[in-house]
Amino acid sequence: MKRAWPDVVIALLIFILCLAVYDATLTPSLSYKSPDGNELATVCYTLGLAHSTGYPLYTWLGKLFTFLPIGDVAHRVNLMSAVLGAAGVALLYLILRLLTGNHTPAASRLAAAFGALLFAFSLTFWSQTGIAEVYAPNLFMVALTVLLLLQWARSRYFLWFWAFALVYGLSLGTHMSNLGFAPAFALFVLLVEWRILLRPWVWLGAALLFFLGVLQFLWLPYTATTLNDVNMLRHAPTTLAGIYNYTLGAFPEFKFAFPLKAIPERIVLYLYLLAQNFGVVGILAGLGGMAALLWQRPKHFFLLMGMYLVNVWFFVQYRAFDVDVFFIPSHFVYAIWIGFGLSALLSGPAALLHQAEGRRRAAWAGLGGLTALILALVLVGQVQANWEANDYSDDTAINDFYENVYELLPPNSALLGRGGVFGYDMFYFRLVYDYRPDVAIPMIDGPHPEPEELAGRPLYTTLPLQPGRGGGSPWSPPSELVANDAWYVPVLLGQSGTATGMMTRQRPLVLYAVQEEPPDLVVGSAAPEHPLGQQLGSLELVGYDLDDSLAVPGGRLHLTLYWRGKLPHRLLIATALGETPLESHQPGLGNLARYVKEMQPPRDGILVEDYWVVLPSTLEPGEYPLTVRLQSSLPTGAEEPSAGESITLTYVTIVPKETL
Amino acid sequence: MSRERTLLIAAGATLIALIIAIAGFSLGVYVGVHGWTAGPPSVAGPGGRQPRQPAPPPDQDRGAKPPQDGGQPGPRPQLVGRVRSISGDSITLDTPQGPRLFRLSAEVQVFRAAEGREQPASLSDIVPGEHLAVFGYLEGDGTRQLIAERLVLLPPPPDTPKR
Repeated sequence: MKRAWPDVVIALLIFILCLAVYDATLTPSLSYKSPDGNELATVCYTLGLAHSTGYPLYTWLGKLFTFLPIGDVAHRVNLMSAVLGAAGVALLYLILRLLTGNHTPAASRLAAAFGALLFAFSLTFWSQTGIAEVYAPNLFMVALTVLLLLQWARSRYFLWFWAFALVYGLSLGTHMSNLGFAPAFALFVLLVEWRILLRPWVWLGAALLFFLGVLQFLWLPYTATTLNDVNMLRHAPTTLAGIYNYTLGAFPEFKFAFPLKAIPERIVLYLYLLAQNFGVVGILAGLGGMAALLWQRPKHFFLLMGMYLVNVWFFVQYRAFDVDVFFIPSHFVYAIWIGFGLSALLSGPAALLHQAEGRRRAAWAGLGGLTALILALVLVGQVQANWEANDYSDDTAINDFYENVYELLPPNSALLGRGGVFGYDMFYFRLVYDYRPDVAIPMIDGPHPEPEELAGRPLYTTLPLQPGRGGGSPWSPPSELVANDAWYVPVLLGQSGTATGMMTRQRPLVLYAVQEEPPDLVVGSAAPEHPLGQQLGSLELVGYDLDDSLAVPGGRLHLTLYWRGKLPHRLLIATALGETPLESHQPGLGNLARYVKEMQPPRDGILVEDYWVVLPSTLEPGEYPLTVRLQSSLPTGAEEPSAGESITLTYVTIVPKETL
Repeated sequence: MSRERTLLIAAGATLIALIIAIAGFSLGVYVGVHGWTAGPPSVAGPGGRQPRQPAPPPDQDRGAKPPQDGGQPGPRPQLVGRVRSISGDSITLDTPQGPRLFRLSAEVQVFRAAEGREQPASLSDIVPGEHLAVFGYLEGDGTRQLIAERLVLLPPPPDTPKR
């Protein structure tokens, strides 16, 4: 790279393009797209301690982003993934330019831009640029580390080497697995300049700077008191053994979790994921690039191959349900191979173009333009194919739900729910914005709150507890906090309501009032404000009450439905506002079977469903029909004849928030 | 070509050949065990969750997607047993280990095993008493609840009267 400025401009353009796309698909605030995202967003703001391996650098960078005057705190941390993800892609372009520096400049630039953008809009990496997660920032750190190492290899200037060592040490604070790249880095350094061993001040300086980067992990014991997760507390980093268990020794049950016999299947899984990101053609192109790199730059080949093999070897044997994201560094290396192979392929014709004259030159130029167009179309296809899967821009369910929860809770009540890492959908509002300080949130301080903390407070929960089992997971509140025979009465239904499985894989968002007495679920007679008497399948909708037909986006409606008749088989009751589904729930809001068994109501009684339903904040102002319909509880569609039938209750007017 | 370069290229070429051989061997083992299958292997191993799928084109109705004719089940079912009860999107099976509850995923596919092949079937075919093999993943949120992605209706065992 003799003239650097065109590449800096191209890298900048790539950064802007990627950032624009990532920002367009960014999650507005909290989300369940990542199991840890809500915790990470909160911890960045509070400067607490994240789950293993602690992620100090991520936390500090995230804190810087929380100062941006854009959106809420979670949005700003999501934005960090977009910004650093886009920056990582720009660095990938520069890495490819360094590697293909001896190719024809036009071919090198075209191939480098293509390789970088192909990676940018690949399914897995893109998915991590829209949420608060460590993988996009970590890719930036990995790319920066490799770029600095390549710069040193090119110039042999020791300051590049020292910068590499410092950044590499720091990169462990975005993902500990980067440590596995050390053998590949060491081999590359020795292959390029083994005499470095004869200059102890260079490598000792580098070792010191690496160690300086690693010192960030002193953050762990310093902030260990902020931990509230049952599993993290078990290995709290307050001793040297604790620090080891929290970092290098974390998640032992996930590591090397498969017997040798299972490895072929795991490798096939990896190949499947690779094909999902680059396609079979991309895999073949990468193989070609791998061979070309070996032929042209064998030392660099061993650097990249070492990184690649360590990442694939380790994570192929890692048992995590979201294992695809752990392969991002190896996908990054694979994109380098694809770019390098393409550059090598295009360099020959590009050289001919350079030498040709007259008509022949025009023909070669035309061919070059056509190639660029085809590559651009491939990228457009990649963006189109992966856009919907990675577009989280309308994911407002958690914020809409909890904003309403904190508004609805009575004074001095107590709110239970999942704790630890998975409780930050609830904790976020208290820890970041100090919502409703009068409401006790016992799980915020740790996994074992004392029952006395709840004494005298009206009790609410987002997770019904089962006698003796709590909520069924280590993060559930202890079951002794609530009487075994308590009733869990749904008060507020969020976007996924009580129909688990109906709305992708989103956790149901329901606020339950915990009470000793059952609700008046079945009554002998009722006088709804709006009588209807309309049949919906085997049920008759006797009528309904609606407190107010004027609402705001992100607000809620108070609805009471009165039903009579035979309960439908495998059907849910679903409400919608225009085309927007609001919630779906089992008849009787999940309490009917117990109610019938214990209360023995009249057989021809009227079922009363009284609840609040959250309105998505993505609703545009306007007038919408509020409809009730029956929906198959089986996710593949209408299996029952009455599924899909609907009744329009009334029209609801959505007005801008400032209006009310 | 320098001796060092020759050595490096020879070692690298061996490495690439080894990688291709391992990948080919793994694919061969996989196909040998499972046959040619459109479905990917489980992400987390037995009981693992399936990887993210790219979104279908807008004009493709996900709900109406027909199951692939003759599609093979995944590696091994997470549950096999007789349907005891169906409630909403939850089904309870009587298994040799006792009753087991699982939930249906949004994209669950149903097949009926007949004459050594699997024919497409529908959820309405699942009624109490049917024998069922359940392929799916465990919810990764700590609840460890089984989410079914593929159900295969099995012929009744010879000594079990069909209800």
